[in-house]
Amino acid sequence: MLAVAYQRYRRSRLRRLWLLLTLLPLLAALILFSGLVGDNPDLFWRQLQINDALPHLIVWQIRMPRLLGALLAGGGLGLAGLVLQVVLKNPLAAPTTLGIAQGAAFGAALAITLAGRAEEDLNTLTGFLVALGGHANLIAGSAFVFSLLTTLVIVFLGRLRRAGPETIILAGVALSSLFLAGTTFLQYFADDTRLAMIVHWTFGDLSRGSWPELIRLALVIVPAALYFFSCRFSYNALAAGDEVAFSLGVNVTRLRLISMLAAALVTAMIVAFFGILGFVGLVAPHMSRRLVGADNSLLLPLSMVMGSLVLLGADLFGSLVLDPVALPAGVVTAFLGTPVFLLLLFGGDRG
Amino acid sequence: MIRLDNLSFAYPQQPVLSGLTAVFTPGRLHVVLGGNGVGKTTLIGLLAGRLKPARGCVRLSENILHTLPVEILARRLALVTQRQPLTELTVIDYLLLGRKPYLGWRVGAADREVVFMVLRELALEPLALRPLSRLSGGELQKCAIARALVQQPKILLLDEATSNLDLKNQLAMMDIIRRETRERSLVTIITLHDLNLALRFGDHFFLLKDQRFLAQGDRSVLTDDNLSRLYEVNIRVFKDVEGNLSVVV
Repeated sequence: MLAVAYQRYRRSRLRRLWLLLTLLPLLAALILFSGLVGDNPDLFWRQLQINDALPHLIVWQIRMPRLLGALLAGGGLGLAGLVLQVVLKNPLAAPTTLGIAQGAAFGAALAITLAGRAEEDLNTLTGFLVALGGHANLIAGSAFVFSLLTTLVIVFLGRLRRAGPETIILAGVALSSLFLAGTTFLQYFADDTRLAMIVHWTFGDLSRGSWPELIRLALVIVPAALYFFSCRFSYNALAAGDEVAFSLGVNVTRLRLISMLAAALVTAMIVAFFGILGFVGLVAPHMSRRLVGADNSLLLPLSMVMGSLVLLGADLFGSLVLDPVALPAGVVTAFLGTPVFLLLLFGGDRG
Repeated sequence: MIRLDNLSFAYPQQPVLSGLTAVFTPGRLHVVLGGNGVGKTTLIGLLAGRLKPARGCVRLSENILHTLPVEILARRLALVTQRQPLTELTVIDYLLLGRKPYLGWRVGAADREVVFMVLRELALEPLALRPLSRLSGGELQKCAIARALVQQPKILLLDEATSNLDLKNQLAMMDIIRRETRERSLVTIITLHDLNLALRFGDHFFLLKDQRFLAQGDRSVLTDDNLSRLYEVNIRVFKDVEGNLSVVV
């Protein structure tokens, strides 16, 4: 009866999750091996084991980091977007709509500008920081600081009584354009090399990832994902209203703060390594919600998988559509994200 | 048992409650009456531990309520609010929230069993797999009560839980609340606007006005005089042919 019906319902939802999860390795294999196998698969497999063979280099040094980068960044953005939507109770919340990603991009641009200047002079603060942590860390660190600032502003606005869901998104729009203006300002004064680096940052490109960076990214995203998943019932409770969530034993203020900071950290790391990958964090949670409903114990893993799929798909699409020119994934997600999101908003009945 | 011990509360520069003292006992339905903005919701917030008193305290058994950790409180107290936010959670998943205070890493079979039992008890089985956003107002409030019961609390707080419902649903809700109060021997505290509902279902009444209880006690405190002073309109209490009390303005 009831127990059986519920079991069946859960199982059907779980099946959808597994189905998408099996899509991942398929797509991954396609991306890794396409155009390489040729007429002689055996030869290819053997070459793959040899260190200096071309297929080995292509798969392990070029395609694999790119693939893992897409998996990690997509998954991270899918999670960050979902968590932001849940804790702010706002379906439009996402790293890009709240200005968190733009803040991170500005931070990165600022670090690029300052670090370049400081190289000649180790006495300045930035020069010292560069010497201490290296360029990449400085850029990532600066991206994080600015995404954190954005997040704190939003947390603060969210605590004001009058701030409704629309207000927070509008504040996010204001913050994004502020940071975009800041980035443009830096671009105006940058020399050619730095200008190219900054511009490169404003659209996400997955080919930028290298093994050490991927490991650092994983070290942030995996613990964050575990934390988010451990809070899944608390996130569900938030849907029942703050007062009720409190009466269910959820420390609402703390949960909201930690979740938003974790989402900001994940976003900042991704933006620092790959640049802005718009709309993934917005679209992936919505697509997932349509498949499994609002229960976060299913939604969290699915949103992660969905983010990875969307980004992998966007990267694949970008490398095919204008062949031989490979469009960066960030450009594709920005283009594809808009119609997909509008479709989600206005398209048909909720399933 | 839960007690108010000289309880006072104030928002910045605005006293709301001062020096309230009361005792709430198991198996009885306590009704808090009062006009708009008189502090009924604040009182519920204090009882739920969400607000901290300025002076005095709420005592839960022998403990001071607002010093207890929220996880412990959640096993003793359940709250039902006036409106439920619309979510796509299914009724079952929503009811499972009531197990949150007891959950470890995952939902167990025992947790599900509690949910199924309450669903059956309140005849909500046909709605079990429907998203909350597709329920009517009456069904929604029933689910909110069900969620509170799944929490297996000792104390049930209801903040105008029936105010948005039509007549039939109001009566059905109050019936459920009274029945569960008796059967589970809950300390039930409800704020109400509808005097007739209060007269019909309440056991013990608290008349809140100007930061204090104007009167408290059983039905005998609901006099023409007290009620008229409480709401600042002329109210008369009648006894109908069956001996039920009702009011006319």
